Amino acid sequence: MDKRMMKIFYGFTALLGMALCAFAQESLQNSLKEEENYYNNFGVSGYSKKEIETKQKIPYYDFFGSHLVNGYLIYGLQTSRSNSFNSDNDAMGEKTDSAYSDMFQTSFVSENFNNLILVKDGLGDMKSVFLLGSQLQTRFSPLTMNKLNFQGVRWDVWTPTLKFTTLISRTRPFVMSMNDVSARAFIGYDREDIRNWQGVKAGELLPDENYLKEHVGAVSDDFPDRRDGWILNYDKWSDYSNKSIYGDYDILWGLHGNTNLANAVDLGFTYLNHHRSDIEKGEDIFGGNIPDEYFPSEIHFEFYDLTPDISTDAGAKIEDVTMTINGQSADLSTRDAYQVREDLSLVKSGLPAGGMVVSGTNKPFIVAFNTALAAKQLFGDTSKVRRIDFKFTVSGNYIVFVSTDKMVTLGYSGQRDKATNVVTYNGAFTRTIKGTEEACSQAGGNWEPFEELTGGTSAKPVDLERSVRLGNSWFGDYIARSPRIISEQQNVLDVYNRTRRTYDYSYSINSASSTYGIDLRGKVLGVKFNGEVAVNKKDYVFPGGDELDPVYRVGAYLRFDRDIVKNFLALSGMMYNIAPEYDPALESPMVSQHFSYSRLYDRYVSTETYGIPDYLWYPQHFNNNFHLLDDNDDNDLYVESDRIIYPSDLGSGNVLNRWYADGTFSSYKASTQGEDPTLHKKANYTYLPNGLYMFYGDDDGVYVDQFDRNHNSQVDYNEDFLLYYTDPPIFSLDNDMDNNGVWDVEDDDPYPDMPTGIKVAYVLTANGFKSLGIRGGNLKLVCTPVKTLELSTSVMYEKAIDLDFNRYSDENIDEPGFFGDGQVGYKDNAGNKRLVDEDFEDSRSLGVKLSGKLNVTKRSLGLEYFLGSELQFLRDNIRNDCIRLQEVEDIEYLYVDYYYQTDELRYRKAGIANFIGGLSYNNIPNFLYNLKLSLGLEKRFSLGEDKLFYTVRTLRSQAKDTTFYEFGYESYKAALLKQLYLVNKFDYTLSPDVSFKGALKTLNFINRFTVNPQYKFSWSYSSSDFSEDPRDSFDPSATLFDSDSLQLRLSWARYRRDNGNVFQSVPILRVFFKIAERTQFQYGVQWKRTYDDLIKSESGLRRVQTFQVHSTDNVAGYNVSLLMGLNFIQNNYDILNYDPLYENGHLYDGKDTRFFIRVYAGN
Amino acid sequence: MIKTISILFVLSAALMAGNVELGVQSAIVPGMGQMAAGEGKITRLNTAKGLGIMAGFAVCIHGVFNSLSEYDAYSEQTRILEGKYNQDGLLYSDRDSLRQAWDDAFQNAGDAKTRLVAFSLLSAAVYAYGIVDAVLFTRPAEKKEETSSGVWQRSRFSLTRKGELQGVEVRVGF
Repeated sequence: MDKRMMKIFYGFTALLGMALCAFAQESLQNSLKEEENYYNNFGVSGYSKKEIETKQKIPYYDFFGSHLVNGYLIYGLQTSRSNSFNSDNDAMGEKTDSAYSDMFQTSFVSENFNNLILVKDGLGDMKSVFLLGSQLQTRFSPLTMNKLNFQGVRWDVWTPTLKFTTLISRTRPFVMSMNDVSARAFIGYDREDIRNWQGVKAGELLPDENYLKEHVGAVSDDFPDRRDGWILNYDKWSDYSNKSIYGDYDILWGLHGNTNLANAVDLGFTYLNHHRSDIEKGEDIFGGNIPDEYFPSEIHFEFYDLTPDISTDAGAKIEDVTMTINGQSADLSTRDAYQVREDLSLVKSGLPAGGMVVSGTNKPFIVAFNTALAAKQLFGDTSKVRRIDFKFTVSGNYIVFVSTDKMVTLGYSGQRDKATNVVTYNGAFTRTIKGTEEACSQAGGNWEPFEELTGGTSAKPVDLERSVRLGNSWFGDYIARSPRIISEQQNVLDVYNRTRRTYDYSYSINSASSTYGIDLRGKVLGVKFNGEVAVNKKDYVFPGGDELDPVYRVGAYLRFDRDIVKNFLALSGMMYNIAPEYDPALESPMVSQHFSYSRLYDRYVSTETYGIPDYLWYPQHFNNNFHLLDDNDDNDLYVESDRIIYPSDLGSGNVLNRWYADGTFSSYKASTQGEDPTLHKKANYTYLPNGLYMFYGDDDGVYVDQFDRNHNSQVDYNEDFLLYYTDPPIFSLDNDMDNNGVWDVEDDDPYPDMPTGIKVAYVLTANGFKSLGIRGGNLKLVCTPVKTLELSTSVMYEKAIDLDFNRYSDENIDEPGFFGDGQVGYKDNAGNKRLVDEDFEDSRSLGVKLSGKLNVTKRSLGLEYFLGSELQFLRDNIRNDCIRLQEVEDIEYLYVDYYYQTDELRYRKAGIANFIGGLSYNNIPNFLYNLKLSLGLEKRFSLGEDKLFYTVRTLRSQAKDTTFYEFGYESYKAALLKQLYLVNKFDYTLSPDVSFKGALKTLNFINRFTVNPQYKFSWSYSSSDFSEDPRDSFDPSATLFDSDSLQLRLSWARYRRDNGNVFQSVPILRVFFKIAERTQFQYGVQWKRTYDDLIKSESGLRRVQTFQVHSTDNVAGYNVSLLMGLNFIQNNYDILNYDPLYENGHLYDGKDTRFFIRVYAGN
Repeated sequence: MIKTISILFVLSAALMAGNVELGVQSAIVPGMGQMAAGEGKITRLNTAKGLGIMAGFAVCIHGVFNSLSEYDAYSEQTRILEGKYNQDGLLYSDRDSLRQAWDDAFQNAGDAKTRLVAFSLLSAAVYAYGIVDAVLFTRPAEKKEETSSGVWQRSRFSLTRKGELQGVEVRVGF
């Protein structure tokens, strides 16, 4: 090819290329244009949310016709009652024609106002604030209202001389029901309301298939139980949280004012009214009322042996139970009695004339009255019944529970015809004593036939499977208990003969609870004081009948503090009196120990699967989980010992958001979708010694920040890496204020909080507690001779006020002492009253304490040290059980478990001496050294071998994550416990500060490193002569029966509790590298060597490595912190030698790898 | 007798001549005296030396507990296996595997014991060296001004020249 041709070729090629390029560019531009339709880079244009308008704004006007706002109605609470009367005929009285009570809240409140609407205004010296919503901390005074997350409306008015608050709220849970995806929830009735549930189409009693599909994600075929019989009872998707099927609802209203008198005393006054009302009768804002439908067709008494594990002592002997209606004795044919056989079948036995004894079993003896039949016999029908009273005589060791056929788990009674799918609605669900039977047996007022006890019969209880599956809970109250437990094992008949007591009882329901309180605080004549007196009045009503005499309960305390010699000697003290069962809130029913889901199993059969009892699954009568005094010992955002129904039901997305509005646990609902519900047992609940459960609501436990800085419910002194910074509270004095053997840091009493310094005595009944009240006082003298030294001496005395639960008996039978000795009354066989002195060990505590603490800081030497010592003499006879959290150490700390720790009363008569000391030295830059030592002695003094105490011990096996309760009589033996705890630790922080120049300049990056080696060594030793090591006397060749194994295990658990010798050596290395100004790479490695001299197989090496990148920035006004990294954990036990007998050791070593990204935003 | 007296004399002379405060600190935590002398600054040799001694001691003492724990655990294991081995009615194969397990445990216990002795000696050596080094071979950092927040006061027995902190030359003859 010549040159010309070449030129032509190149020219053509260039032209073609240019054309192609031009075409291509055009195409690209087109494509970009197209793409722009889909893609926006907000880096250039900025981002704004598109407004989505779904609701129509409506102009709203007030009652006077003034325009309010164009917008939406988002919250409402209103009641109305229309009465008719005849002004010409007063005798006709008033009649309620219609009534409604309604409360609603839309999702607007949670989404747009963050659950709180706050309207503030002020003029001159007067200011006003309306608060509406939830999570309102409402604290009036320690004895009247101390609510963590009040939900309702609150109006605060403030002037320079007066502070005033009023509030009103419905108290049943709760506003935002997750069952209702419309995000619009109602709590309300009107007379046309068929008390239906939410989400159900009008006129239907069953959710249709679409509803199930949309809201539950399943169809009814997935739930075989739903197809037969009691299809609506215990339906997990029914929402009774907002309404009772009987038409009752609760309202709380009240006010609190506070003013100052003469610049010396702050005076507060409180009135609170918490009542129930019946929608059909209309609102009664003071006294409340209850629906007549609660009229009981049956009333049953369950008599239990208070010491069910021991058959050689006295059980409960029931001699007579009689009923009167309107004062007229009912025929004995309306009474029947039943035993519970081993297979849980109820067996009609009658009540023999000589009495019935129930002993050595946790199954009750039941006496039931057919009140409907009795009323029919006496008056022709039940409408004329005004009141029903009982008398019963019991002796021995007993506890008595009462319930009715209406006080069962709420539900509808209905039958679906399988062919036509037509549902026949039978009304609110009731249960006769037979309990587990399918049919509603009370219709004719006749007893259903019961299984007769015949020799050798092995018939199963009627439909046991159904009750296990669907639940069978009865609610009521514990109304009597032996004032003291009689340990006598000889001549038990004589025990019955001399401990007879006859109780009166009138069936009623608490309709209103009013509390009047005065609180004051100030300084007069140099004495600083604060205190409070509150009187609670409870009104009781027989359903459809009389109002009974109200019951008044007083709570009062006074604290004072005075300098005797200024800055040298001060005296402080406290007096208090809390009446038994003092509680400003409405009463909540308790569950029967036998007729409850879990109780259908025996607590000793560990192989049985437990499920959450249905009374915890479903809302129950009057139990609104609404206490005016919350249980919040650590003063954080979460209530303890309760179901979390707030604030987690507000859709906040909180990880704690595990509860539905009705208080049920979300994973349980999820778990029923074809899964085994028992797999989801790791809810926050505690297994109680009586076999029942109690919920625990505070996920991070009761640890204060000092001991759980990352709020993960694990104490830092047991946690990887954090263990370096925190030591157990053993290095402080008086770290077990209630003397229950548990450090206060780990101690959570399950009772609503009383004023600081007061812990009422209480008794565990079912899933709740009965308060015995408390009366007492303490004095403390503090001397400060020099600034760094504090010496103190204190004395405390207190007594429980009521030992038998029964408010009628105290004056009729007992002669209680006000402060010192009282007398407990009985009637002997001949009916003569006998009085027995109240023992100190029954109910009283005394403590005398001496302590001194020296705290010195020598800044010039970089030295800080402390020395402290305490001596205590204790006579502690008031049980303070508590709930504890325990990390279950698997490979990593996988989970935290809750368990109920009984107070064994280790200090019935004991002397305690503790010495603590420690120093920290930080005079060398970047270096810190710390040493702490604690030495302790506990001497228990014998109370005599002949004196036996019924003791409940919690035996916890961490290895198997099991909790076992041991019940039994034991004498209080003399014993000596010695303990030592030593911590020695040091760390050094290395932050290079080099400045290279020239070619080595790049080496300056090492200034970005921080290296922090640490080392901690600890030694924990304790030894007691209370018991021997059972391993020493164990013969491995012996044949062990179950009982032998159990005894060995118990002995070992007791021994292990008081004896130990554990060394820990923990080197830690942390290396941080600064990537950017606010971004760091962090690496840490920890080798924790545990050497357990007592249990060699628990010794091991735990290596934890963490790599993470940590970055922070300010985004949209929030400080955002990002963590991303890896954890490698390896647990290597020295030997794998799991001992199934003593439950020590491990089966496997393990390692775990975890990747994590977490982002936190805060202010 | 003379030898003992001589040693005691030399030791006391060394103590009197050395820096007792640093020695005391190193007796509390090995290496602390050296760190005090280096004022905790890593760029100073004393601090680096102190840190080394401290780390060495921590590693050794950790090793002591490691090996002690393992020795105890394996010793117990041998006892347990012995008990099992002596039970009646075992098959030969069971006995054989028990014997092998026993051998392993015994061997492990022996190894752990060796490590225990080694780490114990090393710990003692590092500990002693930390003290000796602090007393005799560690010179506190030079200070131009004494401040009230300074380090421990120097002993009145110190032979260092005031203000110059040159250290001490000790000549000892045996």
